[in-house]
Amino acid sequence: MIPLLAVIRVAHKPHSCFRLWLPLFLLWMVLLPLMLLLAPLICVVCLAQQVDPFRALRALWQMLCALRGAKFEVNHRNSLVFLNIF
Amino acid sequence: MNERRKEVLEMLAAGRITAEEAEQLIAALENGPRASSGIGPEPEARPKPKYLRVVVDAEGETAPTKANIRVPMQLLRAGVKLAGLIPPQAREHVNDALRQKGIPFDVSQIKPENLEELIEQLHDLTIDVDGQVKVAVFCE
Repeated sequence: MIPLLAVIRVAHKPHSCFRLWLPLFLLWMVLLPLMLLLAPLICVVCLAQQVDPFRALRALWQMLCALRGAKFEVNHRNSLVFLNIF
Repeated sequence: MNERRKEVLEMLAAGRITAEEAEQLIAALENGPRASSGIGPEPEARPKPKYLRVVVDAEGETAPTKANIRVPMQLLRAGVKLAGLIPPQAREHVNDALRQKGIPFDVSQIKPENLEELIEQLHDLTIDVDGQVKVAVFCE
């Protein structure tokens, strides 16, 4: 299943803290028609590069689905960058 | 004496099994729980790790830097599949770049079955680099 939500947090203590709950399912809804439009172009590029377009699309889809559960958190001095994908 | 070994010897004494069978059973017992002797409980299947964790704790000159990364194993698997789709020309570029960095590695050699083996071994892997930087890589 594709990721549906991402939480992004950027903080620079004690001055600012920015937290964003990103509903990815809305993003997919916007991107889906765009991807359908771009699909022929992707196929042409894949064929030009001697890559099976179906395998490429399947691999990309699997990568997208596998993003669920990913978490990145970096702290340096007073700065924090945090990304969690659900 | 081990209870199970005693049981085998009693079975041998009662004539329920032959000396050869007893020897095989004892050998299987000595080989530990992994041996498929049919005696005792089956070894518990290890749960597959779901995430690869990388925890970095660096003591910098001015301030410490900490990184905590959790990567789903599925992402690694999908990445390897995607790496298999790299066009030959691009693959050569990647290999050259790796060689220049002192890593003589052919990316075409990365295959999903190799990754599975690697993941199997990652169960017990923990790397700790002492000094200014501490890195821990493990699966969970």
